Amino acid sequence: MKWPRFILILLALMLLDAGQWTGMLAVGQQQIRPDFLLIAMVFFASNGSTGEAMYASFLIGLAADISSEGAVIGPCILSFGTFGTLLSLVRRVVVMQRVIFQAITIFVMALLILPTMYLLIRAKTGQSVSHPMSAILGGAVYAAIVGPILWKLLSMLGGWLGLHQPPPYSMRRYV
Amino acid sequence: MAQHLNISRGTMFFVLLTAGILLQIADHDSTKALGYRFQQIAGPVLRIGRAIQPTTTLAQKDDPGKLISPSEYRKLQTRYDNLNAELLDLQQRYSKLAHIRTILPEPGPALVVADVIQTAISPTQRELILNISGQSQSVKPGQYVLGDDTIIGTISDVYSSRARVRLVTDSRHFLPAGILLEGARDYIPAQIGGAGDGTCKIPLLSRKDHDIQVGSAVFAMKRTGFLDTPILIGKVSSVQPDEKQPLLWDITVQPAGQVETLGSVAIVVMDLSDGSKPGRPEGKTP
Repeated sequence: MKWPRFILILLALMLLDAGQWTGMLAVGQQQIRPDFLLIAMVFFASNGSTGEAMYASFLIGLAADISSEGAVIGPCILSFGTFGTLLSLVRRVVVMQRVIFQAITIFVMALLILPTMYLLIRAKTGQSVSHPMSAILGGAVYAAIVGPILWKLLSMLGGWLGLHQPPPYSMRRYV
Repeated sequence: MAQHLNISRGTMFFVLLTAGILLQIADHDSTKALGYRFQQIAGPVLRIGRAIQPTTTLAQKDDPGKLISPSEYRKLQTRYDNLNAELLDLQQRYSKLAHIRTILPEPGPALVVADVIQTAISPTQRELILNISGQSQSVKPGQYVLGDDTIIGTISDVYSSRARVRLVTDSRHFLPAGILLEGARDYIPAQIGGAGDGTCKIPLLSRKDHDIQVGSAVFAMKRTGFLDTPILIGKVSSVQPDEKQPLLWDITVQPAGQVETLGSVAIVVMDLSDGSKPGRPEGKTP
């Protein structure tokens, strides 16, 4: 992976994620918005080599912490880094070329990452989500809906980023 | 990356994980400067689209004969409620003065007008970031913040040129409040706390002792050194028996201020003992 270019994309995603314009996308009284950095983390964990996926996950986690409203540093690094690395190890189980599997993977990852993140935020600052179930489920569903669009855009930049995307899953290898 | 340094992926993972754990257990006050710096540097870009955020408005009945817009009506109603509270306060003060003639009326509070540079509304928090360049000496944590002529929150953090406002709807926010029933002259004392979803909750009010009605005004009450007259927070939007404690009310309050589109707010500065003279608002209504 070409890391300077990755950093540029990461900065753009940070601004996208933290920017006020995402208020237009907010739904419900809890103002749930799609988590662009989480979607990007799933993309890079699925499309880079295991090592690249691990570094990308931790870096995206750090970016998510810095750009979060409360600036709580730590929860996203740990949750994104750990689950991103795990995803890079098990990614060959699902065919990520299909939109439906991209959405399901983002949904499942969000279901794992968001509760972990909220628990770590609570452990560090004592602040908790008022309606955790709706925040987690709403956030996961929203990320899964918006995810494939951002995935497509990042896939188009895959060559420029120097990503060597893994070949499609084939049963023959395991027979 | 790690291959050039001849470090295995497993080792690198544990190094990164350890760094993450250290940042997690590090003091929040020391690490949050990183995020604050990002918001300061990227502020102009992050603010794009602030003016076009959707606003949530209170449900209002259709009235073909109305002569003013709903937003104008809401503003007038808010001013009316605040004037009513001020009138009650003046009446109480007058009755005291009638007995103790030596007491002189205190001067009103000063207001520091500050521009809103960012709105931070998420499931975990509801805050505003203010630009207080040149006025930071007057601003202190705990001071009340006015927007749309209502109390919208209190100052939680003060930096050299920025201040953070914790909104009344933030789940970590609690204030002494009073409910004024229609036609009543006395406030029902209560504690108001943010619900984290754009509304506030008033707990621990007995159903037997208080007949709370939907539409009753809820005020931030006087606090020595912070607020010298009650000011409107919002209106009671729902009153139901508490499911867990049926002898108590479950009261939901809809704040009257629309924080999403506020361009500037006013900070109530009561204590001027440090000699600083904050400017009074001149032609700039928050």
